[in-house]
Amino acid sequence: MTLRQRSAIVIVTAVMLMLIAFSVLIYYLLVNNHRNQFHSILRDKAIQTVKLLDEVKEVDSTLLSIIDAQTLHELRDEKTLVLDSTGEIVYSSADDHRISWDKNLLKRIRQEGIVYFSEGEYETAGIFYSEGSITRFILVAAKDAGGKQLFRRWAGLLSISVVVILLIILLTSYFFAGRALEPLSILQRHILQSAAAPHAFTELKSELLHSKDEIASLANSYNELMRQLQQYDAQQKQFIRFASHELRTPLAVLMSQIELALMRDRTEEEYRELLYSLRQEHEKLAELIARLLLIFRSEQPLQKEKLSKFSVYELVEDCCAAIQQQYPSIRCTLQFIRPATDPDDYSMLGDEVLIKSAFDNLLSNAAKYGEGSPITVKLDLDEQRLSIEIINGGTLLSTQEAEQLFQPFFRAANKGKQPGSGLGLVLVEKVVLLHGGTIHYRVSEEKNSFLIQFPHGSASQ
Amino acid sequence: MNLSNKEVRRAGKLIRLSQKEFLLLETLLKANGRVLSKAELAEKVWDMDFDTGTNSVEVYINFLRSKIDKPFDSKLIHTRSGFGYYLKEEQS
Repeated sequence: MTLRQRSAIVIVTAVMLMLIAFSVLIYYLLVNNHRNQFHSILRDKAIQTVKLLDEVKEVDSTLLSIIDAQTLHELRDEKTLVLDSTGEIVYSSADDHRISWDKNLLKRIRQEGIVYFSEGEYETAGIFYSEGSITRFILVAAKDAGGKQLFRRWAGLLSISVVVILLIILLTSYFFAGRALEPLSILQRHILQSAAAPHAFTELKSELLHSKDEIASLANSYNELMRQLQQYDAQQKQFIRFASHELRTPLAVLMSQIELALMRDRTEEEYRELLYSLRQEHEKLAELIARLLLIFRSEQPLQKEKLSKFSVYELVEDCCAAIQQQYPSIRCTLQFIRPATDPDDYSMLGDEVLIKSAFDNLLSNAAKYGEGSPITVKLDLDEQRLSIEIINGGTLLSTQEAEQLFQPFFRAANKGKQPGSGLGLVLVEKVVLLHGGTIHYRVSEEKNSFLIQFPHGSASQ
Repeated sequence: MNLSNKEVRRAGKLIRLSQKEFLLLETLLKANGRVLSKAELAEKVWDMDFDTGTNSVEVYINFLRSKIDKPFDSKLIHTRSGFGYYLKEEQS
């Protein structure tokens, strides 16, 4: 059963119960009102009869009987009986119907003043009348045939009304439930379509998102979920590209070390040294892979156990040495702007492996795209920031290129035949941001410059 | 100073040095107390022509002093004003 049908049935059932209760109440009130009116007529007739009989001297029981017989009454098959205080009949109208009475009834009438009761088709009113020395019991009976007919008509009318109203309610509630639930149907159709096309994670674009009801809230939550899934999916895909890119550079270093060693025969000692060095590089590589997995898979902030205090200038020195080993013709120098006397001032808390991979990337870019020009790394320190600026003299990037530099897969026009995937700077930016830093490209003294700034001193607390 | 495993110890305590710091100390040590000018040090350690405007020699001498002299009572690295730097153990 659909939600629409269920809503319509619930509404109709509720309305039906209310209508039936309401109709029964109306029927009861109408019947009661009619009975009261009929009893009132019986009572009036009784009083009128006794007054004629006892207060008008010219009217005796015979004359009254004649008047009764000749008068058109609104009461049908009416019979009147007047008794005195002892129970003797004083007057009896000339009708076929016989009113049955006994002393108990008279006693009750005397006690209560007026008594109404039904006897077959007849409604009877028993009235106790006392005026001066005259005491009378008047019993008036009549058929309420019109009333019975009226009751049947009312019952029929009310039943038909209930059925008609229920039908109208059923149709309108089905229609309006359909309209009210239309946004839900849109959402349902969209979800079914999305489920049929896996990895699409399409968001719902509909006007229903702008309303303020629960369905809009559900649709917005669904969209938020889709956005997260899209992001997650993109991260997964990007991770694979990142990983392959990140592994390429250290593998190239390993290869160059091996090739260098193979250029001529080496002593046993030299081979051992080479193997130790290769093992060390492999360990770093394994750690890098593990760290990359951690970052891109979980997107969690830096893990505390991976944090260590390390010296930035020592790290830059090592990276410079590595790049000079890879590109012997390119000079890489480190300059200190506003140098500190204590080397400890250049230490920072972070993930050394990740920071090193960021520096390696930037220096490798500077070597690849610097067209043989020397690489300068400027370290600057103030009370709040530790700045690392990596400068190369290659072709300057255009403003447009500079804007897209940190976009995944973007490669500037200076790429030439250099291998690359356009992901290195994306990773660099991610690592820097992860450490609370900033990175900008700028042109400094007509050279390409990447400026990284990390919070330092009190700012890094 | 152990050149093969690049370890430096003073009074038995291991001192962590960067590559350049190690090379600078090695150069000063090999000079055997002779005063080395900034130009010589720049050339030997950084393979740079002197007068390139670099302050690296001063900066690294300061770093070495922080690491080698500061934690200890006696100074090893000395400055000969206007000439350069030399290594000598002070007799306290």
